[in-house]
Amino acid sequence: MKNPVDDGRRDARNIVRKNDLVLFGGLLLVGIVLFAAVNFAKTGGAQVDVHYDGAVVASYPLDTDREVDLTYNGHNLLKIEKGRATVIDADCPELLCTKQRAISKEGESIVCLPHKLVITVSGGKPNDVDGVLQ
Amino acid sequence: MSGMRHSLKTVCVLCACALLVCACTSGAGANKDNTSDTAVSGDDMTSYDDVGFAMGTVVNQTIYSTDKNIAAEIVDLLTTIEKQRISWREEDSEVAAINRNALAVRGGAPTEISQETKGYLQTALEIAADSNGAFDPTMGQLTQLWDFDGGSEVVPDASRISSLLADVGYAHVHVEGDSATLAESSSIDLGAMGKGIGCDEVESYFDAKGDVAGALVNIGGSSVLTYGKKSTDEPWKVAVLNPRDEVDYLGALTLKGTNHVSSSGDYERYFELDGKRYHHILDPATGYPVDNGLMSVTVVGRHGAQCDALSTACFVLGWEQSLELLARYDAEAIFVTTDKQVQVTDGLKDSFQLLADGYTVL
Repeated sequence: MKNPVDDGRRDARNIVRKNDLVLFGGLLLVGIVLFAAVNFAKTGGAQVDVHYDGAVVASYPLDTDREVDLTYNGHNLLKIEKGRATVIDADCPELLCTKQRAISKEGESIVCLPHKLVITVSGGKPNDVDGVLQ
Repeated sequence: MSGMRHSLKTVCVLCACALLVCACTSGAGANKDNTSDTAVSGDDMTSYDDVGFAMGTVVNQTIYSTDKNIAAEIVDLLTTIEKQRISWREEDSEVAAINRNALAVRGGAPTEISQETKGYLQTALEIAADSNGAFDPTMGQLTQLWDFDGGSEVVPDASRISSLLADVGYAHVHVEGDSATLAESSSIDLGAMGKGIGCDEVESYFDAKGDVAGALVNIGGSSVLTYGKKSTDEPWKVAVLNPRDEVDYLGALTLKGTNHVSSSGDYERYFELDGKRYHHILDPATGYPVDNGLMSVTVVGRHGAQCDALSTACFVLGWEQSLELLARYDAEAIFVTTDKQVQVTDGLKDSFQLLADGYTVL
């Protein structure tokens, strides 16, 4: 003999689960695809940002080799080669910018304080490191 | 029945939407702006990044505090320590005065010093004695002769090295009461522990201020202070560079709370001649760059000046002879050899993660 209560429960469970799980799964899939797309776009698009006096004044892709004359509050020669950026020449008094190591990872920076210049890497692979010992 | 179905459906759809939003925002939000003086909002505390110059190098700071002036105060503090106390280059510093007075009369004339400088010198002498002179604060004239800081690429004359070496010795420094005397015509150079001294003073400054929840202060990439905690419970992550590739990380240290980390390496200042590398870490026993198969030593401990001096001492001593010295100061270390082997002391094994290709952790 059928138990109407049991039957009703099973019935409700089936209807709710089948359709809604499809919807749920579909939305989840869209989420995963979007997440992957956003992250993929980021790893591809690392760039070198030049900040003068606190504002971004120029950006260059990190994957294109070039030398750029930066003439904001003086002269700094920026070199981008093989995915790394360095300052190879400048006319500031102590040349501390030319002595800083090359940058290639998100959040790393080269600074020329006398020229109010900060060069950073943005985009690319996320970098969760708080500090680097050299 | 249909009401129940409806509400379950709603819950499912809402869950899925929430996941969708999470997925998108967590991806986009990871883009962190890291210019000088950028504020990012944390959970309950605002953090900001600052970059400045002090002690002849770049000082990077990330500070979790409501006080926006702290980073600038730290740069001023470090500059004052450098100029008034420890730099032999600064005419008005206490160390420069001690060096001048060493030559004033035979056996040196005493120089009045501050309690702070007295403390630095005592730490230097203690580590010099405990390392049997592997770290020696009286190497000043030899460091100036090699002049790695000035970019010199010449091996000095052997007779000149041996004559200067004759006057080197931490035992010639006497600290008594409020004064210090250097009894030989050598000169004190605290360069091998200056940035560590800076980190100690920054820690004390934060303690006294009381409104800094957490901070990471990186002085020239050679001494780092991790202080307190971030707004989240995430630990600090400090990378150590690959000694043979300046953009590659050898590995990363995961550290909780307040720690000091210092590195010494053969790649910071060096030149190559006839296939041989001459780097800035001089062996006080020979007057020549250390040549023992090490590329870098990183020391983690509770005090900055100690870690900084220990990283030099350990580089000179090598792995075997350093272990007892490190234990005495409750410090841990990572040694990297030129054949790309990495040795890590027991206390750091769980916090060090190797990242570079081609290296092996022993």
